[in-house]
Amino acid sequence: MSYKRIGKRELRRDGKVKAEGKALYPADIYLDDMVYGRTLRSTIPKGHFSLDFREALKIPGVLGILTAKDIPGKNEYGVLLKDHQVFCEHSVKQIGDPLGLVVAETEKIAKKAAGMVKVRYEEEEGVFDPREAMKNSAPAVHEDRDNTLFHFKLRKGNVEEAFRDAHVVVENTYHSESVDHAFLQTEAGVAYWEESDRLVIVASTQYPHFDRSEIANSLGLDEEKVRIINPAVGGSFGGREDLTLQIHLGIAVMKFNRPVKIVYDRKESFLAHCKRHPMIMEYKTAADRDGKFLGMKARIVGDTGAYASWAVNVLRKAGVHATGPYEIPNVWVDSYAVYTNNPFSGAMRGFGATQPAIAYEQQIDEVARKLGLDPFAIRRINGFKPGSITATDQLMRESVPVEECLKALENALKEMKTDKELRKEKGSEKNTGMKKTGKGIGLIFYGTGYGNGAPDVAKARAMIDEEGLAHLFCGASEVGQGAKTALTQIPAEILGLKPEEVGFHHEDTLTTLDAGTCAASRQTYSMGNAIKLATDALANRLVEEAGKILGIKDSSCLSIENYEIFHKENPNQRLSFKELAGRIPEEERTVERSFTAITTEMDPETGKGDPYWPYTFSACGVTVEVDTETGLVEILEGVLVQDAGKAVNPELIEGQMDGGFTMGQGYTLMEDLQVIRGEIKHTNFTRYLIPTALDTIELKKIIIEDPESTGPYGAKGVGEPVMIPVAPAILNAIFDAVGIRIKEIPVTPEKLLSVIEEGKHGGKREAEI
Amino acid sequence: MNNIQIKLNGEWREVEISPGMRLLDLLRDELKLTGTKEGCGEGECGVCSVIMNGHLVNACLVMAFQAEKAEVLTIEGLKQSGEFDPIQQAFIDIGAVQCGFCTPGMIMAGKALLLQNPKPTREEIRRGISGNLCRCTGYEKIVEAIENASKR
Amino acid sequence: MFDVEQSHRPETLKEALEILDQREGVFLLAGGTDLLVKMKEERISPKALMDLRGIKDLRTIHCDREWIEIGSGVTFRQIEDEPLFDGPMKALKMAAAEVGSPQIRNMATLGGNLCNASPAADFIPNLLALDAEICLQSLNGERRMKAEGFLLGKGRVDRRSNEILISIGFPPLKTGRGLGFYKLGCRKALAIAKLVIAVYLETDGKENIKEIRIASGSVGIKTLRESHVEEFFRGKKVSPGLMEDGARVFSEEIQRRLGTRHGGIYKGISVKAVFKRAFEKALESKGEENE
Repeated sequence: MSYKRIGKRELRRDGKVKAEGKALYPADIYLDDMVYGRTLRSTIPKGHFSLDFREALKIPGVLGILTAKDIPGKNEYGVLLKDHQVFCEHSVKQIGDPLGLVVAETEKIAKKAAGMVKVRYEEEEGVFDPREAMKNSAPAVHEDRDNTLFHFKLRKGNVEEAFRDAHVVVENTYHSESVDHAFLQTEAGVAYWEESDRLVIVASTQYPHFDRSEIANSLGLDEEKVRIINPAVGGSFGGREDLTLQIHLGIAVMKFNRPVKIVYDRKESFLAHCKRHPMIMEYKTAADRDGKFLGMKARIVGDTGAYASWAVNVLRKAGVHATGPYEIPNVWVDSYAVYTNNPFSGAMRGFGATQPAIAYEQQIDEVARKLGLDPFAIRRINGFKPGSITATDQLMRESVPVEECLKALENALKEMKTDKELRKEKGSEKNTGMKKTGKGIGLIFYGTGYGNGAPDVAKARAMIDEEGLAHLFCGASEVGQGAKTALTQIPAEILGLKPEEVGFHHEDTLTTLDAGTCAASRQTYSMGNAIKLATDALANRLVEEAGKILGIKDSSCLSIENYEIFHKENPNQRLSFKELAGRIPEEERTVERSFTAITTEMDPETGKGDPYWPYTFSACGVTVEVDTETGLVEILEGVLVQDAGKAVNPELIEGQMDGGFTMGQGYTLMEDLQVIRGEIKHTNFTRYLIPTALDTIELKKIIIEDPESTGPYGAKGVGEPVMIPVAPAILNAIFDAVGIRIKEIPVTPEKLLSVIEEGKHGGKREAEI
Repeated sequence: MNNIQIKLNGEWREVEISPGMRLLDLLRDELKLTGTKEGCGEGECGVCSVIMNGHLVNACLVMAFQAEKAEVLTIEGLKQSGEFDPIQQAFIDIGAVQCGFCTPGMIMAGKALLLQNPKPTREEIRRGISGNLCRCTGYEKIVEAIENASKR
Repeated sequence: MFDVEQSHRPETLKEALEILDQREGVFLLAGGTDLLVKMKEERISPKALMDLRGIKDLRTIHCDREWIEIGSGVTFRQIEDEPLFDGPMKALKMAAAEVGSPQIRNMATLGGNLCNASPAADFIPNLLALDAEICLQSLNGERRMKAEGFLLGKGRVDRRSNEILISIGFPPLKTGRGLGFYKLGCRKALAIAKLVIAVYLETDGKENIKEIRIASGSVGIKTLRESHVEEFFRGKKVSPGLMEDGARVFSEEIQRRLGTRHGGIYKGISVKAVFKRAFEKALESKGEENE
């Protein structure tokens, strides 16, 4: 099936404005009579506090200092559980908790006054290890509830029997630490009153409509009185799902009746938004002598820090994905979300499916090694195929291109240079014996959507205006991934237009419909479906109406192309969009449709159910070089294979693959927040390292298209899966290079070197971290 | 406050500054040239990159008073008579833009590089943008775009 | 936006020294790549700044047969591009090329870097290995001293409040002498040095070490000369075995000095490789022809 717009490398719609420096991010907005806010944040992880701002209020230019008592509505918010406070009332649960907001004429004054607020703390004993927090003796993070806020259970078959019958059993514990999204644009927002008593808040978000409901709730306003405008977003990766400054802005506007601006600096940004859930994953995997998995047991403990955010969905996703894309007849998984007084965790690229991959992909390599099987062979023996049943008893009915991914990866690796060639190319140090190269692979899967039967609805409205121009309205968030572009290729295809000719309205709750969140890789699939349904219906309506006007009974002989509807055989019988629009009322040329993703609730005792659909697969292979004298790991070559169902815009997908690979590289080798007793030690880019252009490679990218029949043109979302197989591939490559299995990431040079040294001085050959 | 002369995007201008202002504050807050961004304030991310007296610098680490009599080129100054600079056009054509926040600084880094070295190798391009962080693109298409621009 | 009340932009050294002499609390601003970061982090809060970049005399590199003098206002970019440092002294170019990022190299100055006296400064070990001398000026006259002595501790140098560092000098490398440098960072740009070592080597025709100077960064409160390790090497003949033994001596020295603090365990092990690589580069550069 060949398309005119789908599958084409259409240029980004917002490329020009961004390349000109004219794209507006919230910090770029300056309004007359504007005042500035600066947040007061807790410096202790747990305890009571009181504020004395008498000195601060004396500074000229300070309008006031807002605290919990100034909140007009409810002092609560949260994406699932409303356990966040807009401003803490008496006690704090993590470092960085918002205590108040100083509002002043200039940023400088606000900052100065914030420095003069005296905070008195009565610090209490907090809990920082989630396993400790699970014990009855641990101090409660939230008074009214258990520290263990969620427990997902997956029970299938009989694991104990499987372990007894097994030929090989591999048992290991893996750790994934706290990581930051490190998007380049720090949080910023502007708010003001609009005529007709509407409060406008301009801030970057992944879900404008949900934000609006929360903001309205805390401001004590009706939702229609709150308007969220989501301008250009400088990256999010999950870090903009929780509210940060939005409600603060609203309170300040309501109190002082002037436009208010808040911009976080980098340090505050690190403190304010969520982190990736650190996870401790205990795994036990059993296989028969042919390498077929017999059973798997996993216990996953996720540290959600002081607030729940998406903990439930993240740890549920972790539990469902714990097996990896493999058929395992006997499975026992416990996945826990636990409160601690660490900085809170929430959504981050992969949403709970990223961390288990470092475990299951190393488990499978270990089993392979013990049985003398190669990494591809064992993945072929166990990998999902169409018709496979997952651990939750879900049927993988279609678009399961595991074999295609493995084959593409295998071929690409064959073409990759040999170690000798690479070393020669690098012009390596003379003592090449000290630098060891190794190759490793990773294969993963990712279930799209919120999951577990939660309503996953996207709505879109398509219309032709009286000038005959096409418009699309939906709340889809453009966070950099190119949603704005890819989604307009759909109406462009259907209406025979160029994508940039379709007006795309998505940034304003006033004019757009609830799209659901830009998360869980669901935009292309869910929103794409809603858009296709709406536009298909609109096209049919237009053709029907045109048929009536042209006197053509059989509308199937009519074509839509380039602003016209015409008879295929006799093109003289034509009607332009504009003419048609002039003849039918607006309601007749406007169509609204919604799409609901397929998901069922899982059984709370066994986890049985169909939590996500569709599933996306990806595979990665890398060659690394380990400098055994310094512990530094360099990636020499890499290939990423991504299943996309149908690549609506291959250019955008490649961009996601490059970015995902790089984020995976940073996650594995560099990114280290150093959270110690609730305090993030690395709150700037000097210490929290992400890869620079000199650290990244030219990634070989392969897109696999095995259409998903329920997706628009067969498409599936790829934004998250692109990152997930990278860490496993790097870790497996390190093992191949130096025989050391790294079970805790990030793999810092310190960790690696100390284990290598141990190995040299007569420690175990397979020294492990 | 005092006045300084600065040649901004090809035009001599008199602007009012205060001693504590950074060049970045002058550009954004005073002159409303918001194409140049602030990402870290410490010279670690490069989103504030501008070209001053022919050299790429971080505007967050230059005091406004240091820019007196200097020639400063920002992203807003690249378009010539309505035409995009080849680097800008290449970024657009090759998909080197995602969230766009690093884009102005990256383009300025590319511009500074090509001014000094009109036909750089890929390695030289990577070096030229090594002071500009990007979280979205993995740099690949950015390198391709700058290379492509060098051939236009 | 900072809380600065006064700014100065002298065009001559004399003007600058007069300002320093007359006023209190004036902070010297060279490249700004350290100063403005400290201001951003609120570690310092200068009320007055003096920009030294307008003083052209501070931004030149002079060379004659016996002496190279680098103005304190010379940027790392200038050092990176300086043809004088092709050949045996290319370690200086390499080291300059690894400072920060292109933006930072365009602004950061050698003088500023030296006066900032970060224990992790990655260029400074080269100066100590070259046994460089610095020159300070005030209205009262000149003071000269070894760069090594100028560094007093973390962030502290022997500069009086009315003095400006005007130059750093060292003899050019002649035949039979080499300079090598190796920086260990965890990223390839914008990387703080975990460890950095510079080695100056002088051998006779038979590869016996006549003189060796080893300077290290990130393994002490300031950039240091490793005299204990130098002692081990002096007079001995260069060989792979010697390098291994010397590396071990170095490692023991670092472990003794740092223990488990400041990444001591890691540095104690990795110093061996960093040192050997710097040493090898010194050997390589010794073989290069002088201009």
